[in-house]
Formats: sequence, structure tokens, C-alpha cells
Amino acid sequence: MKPVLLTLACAAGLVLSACGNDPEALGGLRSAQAFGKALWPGKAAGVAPAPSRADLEAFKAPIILVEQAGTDARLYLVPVSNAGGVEVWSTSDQRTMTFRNGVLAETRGMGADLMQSATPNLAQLRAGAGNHVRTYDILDGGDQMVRSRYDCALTVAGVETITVVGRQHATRHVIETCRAESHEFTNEYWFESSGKLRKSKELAGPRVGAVTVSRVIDN
Amino acid sequence: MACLPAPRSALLLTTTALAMLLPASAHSEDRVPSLNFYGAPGLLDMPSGEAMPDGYLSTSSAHFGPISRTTLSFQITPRLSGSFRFLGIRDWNAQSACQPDCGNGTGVNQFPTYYDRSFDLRYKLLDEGRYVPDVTVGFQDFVGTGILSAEYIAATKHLTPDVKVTLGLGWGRLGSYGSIGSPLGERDPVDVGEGGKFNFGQWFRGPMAPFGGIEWQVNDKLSFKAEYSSDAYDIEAAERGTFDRRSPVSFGVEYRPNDWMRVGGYYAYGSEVGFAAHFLLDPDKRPIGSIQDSAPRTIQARPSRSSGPEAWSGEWAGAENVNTTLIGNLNRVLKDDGITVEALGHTAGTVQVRINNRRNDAEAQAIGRVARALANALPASVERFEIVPLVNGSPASKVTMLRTDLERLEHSPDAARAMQAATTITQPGPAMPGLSYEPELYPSFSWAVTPYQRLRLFDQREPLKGDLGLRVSLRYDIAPGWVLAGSATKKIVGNLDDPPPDVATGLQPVRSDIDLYDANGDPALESLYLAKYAYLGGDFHGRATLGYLERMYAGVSTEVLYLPQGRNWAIGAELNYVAQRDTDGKFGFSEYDYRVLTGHVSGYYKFADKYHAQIDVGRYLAGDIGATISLDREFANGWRVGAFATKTNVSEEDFGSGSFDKGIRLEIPFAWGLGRPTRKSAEAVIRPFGRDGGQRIEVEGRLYETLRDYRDSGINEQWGRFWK
Repeated sequence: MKPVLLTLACAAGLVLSACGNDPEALGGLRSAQAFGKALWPGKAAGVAPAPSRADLEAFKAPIILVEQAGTDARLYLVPVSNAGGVEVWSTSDQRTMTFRNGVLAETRGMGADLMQSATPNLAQLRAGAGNHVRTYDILDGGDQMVRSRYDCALTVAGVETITVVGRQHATRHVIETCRAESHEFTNEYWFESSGKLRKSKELAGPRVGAVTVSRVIDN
Repeated sequence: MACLPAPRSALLLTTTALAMLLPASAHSEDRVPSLNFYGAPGLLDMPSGEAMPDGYLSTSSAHFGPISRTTLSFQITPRLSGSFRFLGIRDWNAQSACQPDCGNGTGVNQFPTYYDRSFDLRYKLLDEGRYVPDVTVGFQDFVGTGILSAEYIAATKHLTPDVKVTLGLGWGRLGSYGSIGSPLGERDPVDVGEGGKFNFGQWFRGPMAPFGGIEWQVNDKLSFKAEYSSDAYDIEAAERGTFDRRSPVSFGVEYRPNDWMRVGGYYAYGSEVGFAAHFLLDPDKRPIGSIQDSAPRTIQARPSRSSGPEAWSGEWAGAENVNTTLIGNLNRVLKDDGITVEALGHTAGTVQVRINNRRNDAEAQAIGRVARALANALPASVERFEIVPLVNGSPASKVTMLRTDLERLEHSPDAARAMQAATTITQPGPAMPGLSYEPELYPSFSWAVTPYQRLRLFDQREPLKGDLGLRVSLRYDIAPGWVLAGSATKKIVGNLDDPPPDVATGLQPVRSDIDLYDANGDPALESLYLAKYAYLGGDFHGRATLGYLERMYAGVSTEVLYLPQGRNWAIGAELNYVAQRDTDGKFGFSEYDYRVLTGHVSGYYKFADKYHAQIDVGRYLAGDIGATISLDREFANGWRVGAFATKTNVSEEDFGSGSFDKGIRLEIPFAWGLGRPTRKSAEAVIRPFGRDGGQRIEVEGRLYETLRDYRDSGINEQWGRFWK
């Protein structure tokens, strides 16, 4: 299209929009539109039916399912890196969860991300006894790192049979209780007899809250 | 475990993740003081002893009877706050001698509504304790024409957590009803003059009167207020008859639907119904939570020396087209992050890249993404990364780190602080030997069509006029640091083409004819210039701009900036020779035939993390000589709220209304409101009186403001975003 025509075409559409060949160079209107959408997201898309185990197996890759407590949010993640005891899992749209020594330690792409944390390791949790310190660091609205520190203790709640996407697992249920001056929460872990952590409910930072992580498809 | 290279293409596995973006719980604010009709912490019309939380910005619109006040207030420090206000009083000529036809009058009777603007300052002396109340001393309308002038001391104490009482003493307006004497002597009459001067001579003089009131917070949302006012409304009620002040007592009920808004309904002064709406902003809290961005690519481990000896040997460094190949690989990864690697230089152990960050509001995040891309794209023998951010094609600084530190610290519990300690930020220094640019990137052409709006506050006919239209912007990046750019506007709708009557001043109309440019220039060429930006070596940066610099001036503008790293100050000098353009927005200069040499030496100083001062000394557009001082409160996320004042050797009479140039300014980063990374921001400057003294040219790409984000302090203040 010739520049003049293109300009006119742009002008016609400009009541609600701006245009150009460099999206970063455009003025504030596009930002304002996005801001409006963020505040008034409109009709939320309905909850898609959960895929079955067969659907997930078809991907021929390890998959974990992450659900946010108290919401319909549901993420499926596959592993993208594993080095030095740190596993990074990612959704298809670039949100990641990082497990250090098997324990959720970071999130990215979730908005109020858990930027970094000090965690126990899986062997400590599996033991089901003892005390440790956890720290959670997130960024505040001024991009400054804010740390929450908790003193945590472990207990074994007993044996439990859980169902993960249509398959039953016999597990040992461990509860981690963490306290700070003004706040406390519990994480839960379901270990199989092999020592495999099948499912957990872990705090993904003070803003995202608790998430349930189910190891659906193993490698 | 089998690791997939990248999950994005094959699997579409996310469902209904929207909720993950939202904070799990919305923490309720601590109870924030409510505001009065003046937009200050207080009751209905009377102030209280309280202050807002540090950094809060509020907008208030309050109306009762014929009186409307719209106020912007800012808590500058935990104790000091300031307000800027528009006042309107309707029925101003209700019982004026000019009735019934006041339209042809002059001076204060000229219009049926009286408009004015005013500044306040408040300082909190004491904080509430077990026995001590909050105590604030306030100066209302202390530089304006004085119609709202008052001083007060107010004390506020909670009786229970839900009930607080306020008692105060007022002078000026606030001492005009129920006076108990004039302990500090007579108050000089208001000397309106050209306005805009500090009225020291009146402060705390003249009749003094007590005021007070009570506020009951029924629950988190609902509260009731009652007050006894010491304001007699002598001018509005008795003299001009705009309303009937029957009683000093007023009542109100207020409702706070959320942390950021409060609305109220009132019965004021025994005769008038009123309402008010207050909007609060905390620049340190993003309204929709944190910045939402896609996850960075995690760093992949380098092959071991035994499994990949050729990657470690460094032999690759001597191959053909290494720079071009690496730039291509990096840019494929960084495209999604709005970052372009423009140039690269390498040895077997060190790689230097020059990057252009077009999107990330936090410079540290851009650096962090480039660092990870380098760690994933470069052969294993490269250990040292040097990242040089470019601004307008010119190097701004150099960020150096070791690959081993990135790999070691990426997922550590103290990753941010530890990586910051392992990173050095220095002056750009010379380009690495062998550094070469990606030839495809230059020249490059970009264009945009965007809407624009222009507002004019308080010309002599209307409080607010405006235009809405389209702006076409073109930019041609000829070579690194060489830019040819321009823009033109076409109005669609508006009323700025109705210029107010010309008020002659003793000066060349270097800015006051802006209304003629609005009226005559449609369509108008706003700018068309050639600019060269360059790093001059050491800590020196330079700029030269030639052409149509802005709507009203064309010429040449040159600038040099000394920007040392590791310091909180900088010094710059600017020299311009410009001619005033014709008002029709075309290319000519015959209308004014005015040429002037103008320039400044500028000092910049950032202090106490949050505050920034700038002093400019030099020659202004009208040939006047003087200095500008600007003070800003700055937030790490890019928010800025500040004030400036310019005093030159122009007499107050020649300057006209306002006596000297001053104003307030706001900068709001879009990323803050949007929750998505963008480097765009909105800026607003409010000048109560736009005149000709103390005016400077407006030129794109002034060095300090564009480069300071990338000096060490600018990168470090948002360092937490490095790993985001």
C-alpha cells in the first residue's frame, strides 16, 4: 500500500487505535487500551474441560499440572532444563516454575512472581520431621525486593491414597507448617513408597498464594 | 529426565490461567486520612492535623453551592505535602453593580464565574502518640492572588480507633469567623499585583479563630463528619452574594468503595448541598499488581570440556562471519523481549554487544535478558560478557559480568543481590577491537500515526480548552547515532482556534503566542530535524540537532554532558541558536523575524534515593538571563512528581500575571498502570501562567534524561528485575 493510502487507512481506524510499523514506538493509546482491558477484562473465557490422562500421555513428555488454590487456574508444564539439581518447567506460553532439589523455588511469567527463595530439600521434607527456615522474595510495586521469612516444622499426617488425573497412588502425607509473626501457612506433600513426590501443595509466594502441583506423567 | 528444547511450538497446554495473574489477596490499606474540600487531609472545609502516607498523590473534586475546587495534592516527604488547585465560583456577579449585563465588563467582573488557582504547602510537626495528637501547620494559597489565603495549625487525635477529633486555629480566611483576636498583629491587605509572589507579610497575622470537628469511621467503608468552620466566606457570601452562609456548622457522610476512591455528600453552612470525590494513587503500588511478562529463557549448562572440546578451544573465534552469525542467533532469541543486538565484538574469551532496548521499562531486566541470551548462544569458551546499552544509537554505559557467575547464581536463594555484587557498570569506553554492526539494521525507517491532544488551561475566556487530532511521526535511523525525524499534526476537533485577547508584555512573545500557533497551524509541521548523538569518550556524551526543533522554533541545538558513573550528579551544557517560526506551521520565519542565542549550564543531583534536583543557569528565549530550579520526587518504577521555578532579569511588570515562571510536572510510566513492560510514559506540565520570561526551547533527545536510566544508579534502582 502507498504511504498516503496507508496513512488514511490508519486514520480511519484511529478512533480507537494507533498504527505504525514499530509497535514500541507508538504512543500511549495502545497502552491505554491494554490498561482498560486489564481493568475490565470482559467476559472471561469459560473453563476448558480438563484433558484426560490419555490426552496428556500423547505428548510423550513428562507433564506436571499446577492448580491455583481457590481458582480455576490450571497450568500444564513440561521440563525445559535440568542442571545442578534445578529443574525448570514451562507452559507453552512461557510461564515457568523452578524446582530446586525437588521443591518449588521460583516462578516467572505469573505477574507477582516468586523471584527467589530459600527452601528445604526434598530429603528433609520426606523425613517428615525437623525444623527449617524458608524465605520468599517478591518485587513490590516500586521493583524493590521484599522478603518474607518463616520458621517451619514438619509432621507426618499418615498414609493416604490420592488420585492424580484418573490414577490412584498410595502415599505418605507430610505437612509443613510455617509461621511468621503475622502470618502462617501450611504446605503439604504426598510421597510414594519409592520416595517419589507425587503431589504437593506449596506456597508460590505471598501474592500468587498456594498452588497444587501434581506430577502427572513421569519420564 | 528428558528435556524438551522449547515447549511453545508443539504443545498448547495452558488453560484458564487468567486468575494466576491476579494477586491472591488484596491487602486492605491501613486507614488513610480522609480529605477535605481543599483536597487536604481534613474534615469538610476545615483541615486536620494529619498527613497522607508518603508519596501518595491525590486528585479531589469538591463542590458545594456555587463553589468548585479541583485539587492535585502530593505527599512530598513523610511530613511535607503540597497542593495545586483550580477554583471556580459561579454566580460571581449575582449582586454586582454591573447587573444585568456584566459580559462587557473588565477585570474581576468580566465573567460570571470567577476562576483562580492556588498552591498550598503543609508540614506535619508531630505524629500522633498515646497523648500527643497529629499536628500540622498549613499555608493555603501562599503564592497565588490570595483569595484563598489562610494559615493554620491543626491537631487531630483519635478518641477511639474509630472516632477522631480535630481542633485548630486559623488566620486569613480561616480566621474570618468567630475571631478571638489578632495576637500577632494586623494582616496587611492582599497585594494582588501580578500575583505569584510569596505573601510572607501576612502569615499568621490578623484575626485568629478556632475551628474543629469530629469524624466517625463506622466501618471500613462508611464514615460521618461534622465540623465548625472559622471561614466567614466574606467575599463569596457577604460581598458577592454567591450563596447564603447561615451557619458555621456542616455535616457530611463519606463512602470509600475501595482503597483508591472516596466519595462524599454534604450539607454545608446551613444552606448548601455539596459533594466530593477523591482519588488516591500510590506510585509505589501498581494498580494491577506486578509487571506481567513472559518468563525468561533459563540458562542452559555449557557442555563439559570433555564432551565439547571444540566449543572450549576458542578456535571458532578465528572463523569467518562470527559476529554476524552470533548477532543473528541472539536477535532471534531477544526479539520477543523487544531488544535488538546492533553490534558485536568477540575474542575467544570475551564478547561485547551493543543493544537497543525498546521495551523493558526496567533497564536491569533488559540487561538480564541479554545476559541469559549470551549464556545460551555463545560458544563455551566465552567467559566475559560486556553489554553496552545504546540510546539513540550512542553507547550509554557498559555492564560487565562473568558467565560463571550467571550460571552459578541464577537459581540461588539470594540471586539478585549476589549477581548485583558480581556485576560492574562503567562508562562505555572504546568499542571492542573488531566490533562490527549488523549491516541489515541501518538505515531503518519507522513511522506511526497516533492521536494527540492539546489542552490549554485558563486562557482569559475559558478555564479549559482543547484540541484532538492526529500526529504522523517519521523516523529514519540513517546510521548509528544519526537520526532524521519529524512529525506533523492535523486537528480533528477542538476549540483552541479561538485565541484569547492578546495581552502585551514587555517581552518578545516567545511562548505567549502559543494560541496563534494553535489557531493558525492546521495542519502543521511540528518538527523536522537531523540529530547526531555521540559518546565522546571518558564520561562525556554529546548531541547536535539541526532543523525544525519544535512547533515554535527552528535552528541548531548542541549539548555536552558529563555523566560520571558511581556518582549521583552530572553536569551539562547546551547552546542553541534558534529563530521563531511562523504561526502557520509551515517553514517560514518572517512573521516574527526573531533570532536568539540561548543556552544553559545545568547541574543534576540525585539525593536520598528519592529526590532529584536540577539547576539550569543561562540565557532564555526572550534574551532574559537567570536560573531555573527543579525539584522532583522520583520513584524507582519511573514515576516522578515535581515542581520548578525560573527567575530571570525580567521585571514582574514585564513578565505579567504570575510574576515569574513556575509550574508542576508529573511523569507516569505506562508500565506502571499497564502491568506490562513498555518504556513509554505520559508527562504533564502544569503552568498556572504561561508567559514569555524564563522559557526554553523544547528539543528531542536531551542527553541527561535519556542516558541516566542506564548509568549505574539508574540500572541498580530496579536491579530486582534483572532475573525477571
